[in-house]
Amino acid sequence: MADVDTGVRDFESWLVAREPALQRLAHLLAPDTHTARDLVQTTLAKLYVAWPRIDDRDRVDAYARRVLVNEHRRSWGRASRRREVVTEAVPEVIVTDPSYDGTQEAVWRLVSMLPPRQRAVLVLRYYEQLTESETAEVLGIAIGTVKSQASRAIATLRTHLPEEELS
Amino acid sequence: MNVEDLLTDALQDHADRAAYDATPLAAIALHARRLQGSRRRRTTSYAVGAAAAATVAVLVTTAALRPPPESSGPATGTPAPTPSATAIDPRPTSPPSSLQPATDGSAPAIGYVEGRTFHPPTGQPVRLPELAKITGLAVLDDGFIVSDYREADGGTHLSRLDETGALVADLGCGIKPVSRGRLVAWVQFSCTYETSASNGLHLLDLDTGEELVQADSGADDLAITGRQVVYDTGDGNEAYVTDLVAAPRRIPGLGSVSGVTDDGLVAGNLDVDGGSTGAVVTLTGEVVWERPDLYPYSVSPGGIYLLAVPPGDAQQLILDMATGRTISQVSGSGPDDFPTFVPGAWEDDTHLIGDLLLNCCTPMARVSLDGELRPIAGNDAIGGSRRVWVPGERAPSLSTDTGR
Repeated sequence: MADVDTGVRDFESWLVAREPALQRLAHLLAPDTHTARDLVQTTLAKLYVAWPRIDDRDRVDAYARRVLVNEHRRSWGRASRRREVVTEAVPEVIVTDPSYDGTQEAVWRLVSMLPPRQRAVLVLRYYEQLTESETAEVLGIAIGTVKSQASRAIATLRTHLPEEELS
Repeated sequence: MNVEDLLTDALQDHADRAAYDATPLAAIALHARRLQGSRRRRTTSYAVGAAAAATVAVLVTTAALRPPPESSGPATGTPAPTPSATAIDPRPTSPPSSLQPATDGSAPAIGYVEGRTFHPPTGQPVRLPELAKITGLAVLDDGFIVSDYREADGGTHLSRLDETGALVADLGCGIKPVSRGRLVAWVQFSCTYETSASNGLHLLDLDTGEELVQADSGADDLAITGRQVVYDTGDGNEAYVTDLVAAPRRIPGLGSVSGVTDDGLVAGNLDVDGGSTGAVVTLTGEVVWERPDLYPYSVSPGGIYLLAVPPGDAQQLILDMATGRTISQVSGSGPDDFPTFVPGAWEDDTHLIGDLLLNCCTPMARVSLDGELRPIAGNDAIGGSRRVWVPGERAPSLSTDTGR
């Protein structure tokens, strides 16, 4: 029975418990809901295929996260191969409406306008609570790049958020 | 509040506010098949045994069923389409037919890769080199083009093999090849995703040896009709048709390509959100029919039927390619211990062939349009490797006679 548990039912158990977390991560990384859903489905399909070879069940979450982020990186590549312009500069966002009280929405709007890699670094560091080293490993980049990307992203947020929100 | 705390709260808030739907296992299995060929489960781990094959219970319902050609097996020629202007039936209405537990002894009439062996529909199996997960294969006169997915770098690689299966050349990264008749098409691009090197579309004519290349195509999923290639750009927004001589022409309204008929009727998603399936005339862009909430999968070789899947659903629908009407419905999985049929490819215009996912093993099975699902006798139902179907490689008899 132990072997059976490592098969389909085990995958299904993991799916029920952990798919919501994967969907949340995809939702934060992807530019839209459709892309997020595609990311999750592709990730789950790859995990499904790889499942029999994952011996260490404690590493499944990390593995799934890495697959998802890699799939997300592939979408950057597709965009660049099609010569789409991924904006490097965040458009001016002015949050000065006196009736506005949605700070979190404002922050999210800024995050959603960041270049994909900066956004991914922020999501992994501040939502997934990964260390700089773990973030670098997941993204396949140097720790120094994680630091610089995070620094630039935070600076962008700081620049565009009203001072009263930062007091 | 510092910006880091604001950021953490904003990310948490945004993640919490979205609605999420659970993904059914059968949909995951089907997606796995579509992406890279599903990996057959380790059978020694699932010790239910061959008895499970005799208790298979996959639900197959039929509706508006066009009379199939007279034969109990695949490869019975191409029935003529019967275009209809009547309203589309959203769901079948006839009661479910029962499973036929009997096995079918006829071997697959299309090629397939199992593990590292290519099984052509006729001739001897060919041992392939130690590639990663093979996702596609096209047969050339002097060898093969094979795609394999390499998990380490998250990319699909292409290799040229000779007729013995020995590696001749590494072609870099790309998309799995497709073939139709004597034409083979594939996509190559740089393995460095961050570069701007674009997808090069290749079309090889096996009769003349001429290989045309369209650089910077952005092509992703491909299909061949006549001497043209129909392709999408992988983002669900654009599709094009090209003969690789003149400039590619965009097919308005079409976002993805799942298959195309010989007379240029292409099936795919029609909207950006990918929630609508339809058929579009390649030449004019005319939308012949549209069905909401369906994901198109593949067109039968004679262009008669389209296999489609409702999002997040374990069902698979067979649609009339000419009208979009539901012809047959296959329940991909049932409750608890019911098996899942994962269609791999159209064997001919009246049979789907694929894998039956059981707890014990993964036998091949075929589903016919008249409601029969039969595990294929004689195949290695307890192996541990995966199958990748090669629909472009068909038994010669398929196009000319009425049986095998």
